[in-house]
Amino acid sequence: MGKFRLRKLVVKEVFLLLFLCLMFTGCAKNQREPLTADNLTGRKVGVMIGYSSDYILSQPQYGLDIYRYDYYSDMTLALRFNRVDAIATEMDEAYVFCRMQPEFEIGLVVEEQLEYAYLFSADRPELLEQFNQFIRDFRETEEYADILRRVEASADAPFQAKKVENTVTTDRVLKVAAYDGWEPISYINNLTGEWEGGDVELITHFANSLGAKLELIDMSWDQMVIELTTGLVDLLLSPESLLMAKDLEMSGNIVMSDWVFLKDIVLIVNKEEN
Amino acid sequence: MADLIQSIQGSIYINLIYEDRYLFLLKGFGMTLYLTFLSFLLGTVIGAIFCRLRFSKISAVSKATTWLKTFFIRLPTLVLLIIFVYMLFSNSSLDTVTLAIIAFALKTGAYISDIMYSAVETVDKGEIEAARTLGMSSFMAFRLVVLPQAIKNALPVYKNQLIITMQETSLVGFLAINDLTRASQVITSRTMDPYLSIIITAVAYLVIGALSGLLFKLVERERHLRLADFKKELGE
Repeated sequence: MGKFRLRKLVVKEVFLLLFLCLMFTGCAKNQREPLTADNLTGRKVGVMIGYSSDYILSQPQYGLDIYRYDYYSDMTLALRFNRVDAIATEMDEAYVFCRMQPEFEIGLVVEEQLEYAYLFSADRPELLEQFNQFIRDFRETEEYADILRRVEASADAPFQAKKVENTVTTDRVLKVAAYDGWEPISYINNLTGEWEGGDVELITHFANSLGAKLELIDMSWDQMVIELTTGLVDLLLSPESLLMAKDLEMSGNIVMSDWVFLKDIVLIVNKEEN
Repeated sequence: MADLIQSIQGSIYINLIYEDRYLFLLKGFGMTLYLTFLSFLLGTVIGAIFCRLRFSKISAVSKATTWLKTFFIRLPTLVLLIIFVYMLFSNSSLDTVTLAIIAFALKTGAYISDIMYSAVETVDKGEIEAARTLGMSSFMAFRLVVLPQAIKNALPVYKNQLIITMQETSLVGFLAINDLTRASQVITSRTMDPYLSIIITAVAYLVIGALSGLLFKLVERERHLRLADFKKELGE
């Protein structure tokens, strides 16, 4: 009798444990067909929250299923493990992304030659005016063309940063919010501890034209928005598409400058898919 | 004053009405409710199973369950989610929401099993022995003597566990699931006006908390054991 009861107990408990295990079954690998411009509808595309790619690809005419991530690492993991079909970035980031992680490749160019600009606090119209004047002239210079060339070259080798000295002639300080680790736009060089990147060079030229001391502050997107709307920083060193301008300027906190760069939006996919 | 009212009106317009942005918040609210209640229900089931296995007479089973429970309690929810989505089920066809629910349910289940275990333990052993002497089966004794007291002991902590689960679901944003917190972030990224959507989100979480409080109030009514209950059970 005792033996029988013991066996009954064991069987009951084994079944309970089995039930727990069974909850996790039914896992098969997903199969996907390759990505082309015609079959974009319904595809899962990862984007960085608040970026131009998020804003533009969320529009209904693309018919995409948008997944918004906070960090590149999360988005990369999601792509690697097929949680999303592709991730959308700007072309210059995609160069670096695919160079550093050879298992990914650029699958499709969705939008070409969009105008990208910086975000300024609406409280300082005079600073925006100065910047617009500066960027109109700067786009014609050899330095600007050189930055573009080096950004394009970052597809094959690390970005070749050029040191631009900050010459301070007045007691003005230009406070700029920037991202660290965003090659080739803005990143802190681990060896020297200094900011480098195409946009960093451009903004240093701007600070020099004002004679102001350039202060770059590393912060997250959420923090950037709050600091800019409260006027703690003067501008965000994260180029955004001018297509966002109408919406962003509605709240009256933010204004966008003239275009600084022309960029493409591309979809990055896993290599074995195509 | 008129300026303030106008600025609030403008803020409401761009945060909620323009391009139907309130839909983001509504969908996020639905997703948070869905995640919270489903993972809490599943968590209760898992907690009950864990609790039953911990009372097992076979020491290997009870030890294994205790070990498993401790494992889930000690791992932070975020790490658990990463392990589930990107390691254990990285190639599975299960979608992220389901995986998140399972992870939350296991985490909640581990806590709930502790709550249930201690609630059952507090019931005096003498009462169970007395019930058995009266001729009740062990299941009957559990149902009529232990359970009513255990529920009364467990409810306050159990109620808080629902709120904790609800707050933990705000982590799913990093998996790109559009819950309430993520919805407010999306709106902020569109309007560059972070305040209104954050206030609405906070209020929405308070509303879910209040709703669950009401639900538990219905369960919590005092119920005493009556002689008729025994008679019905014993078929007299």
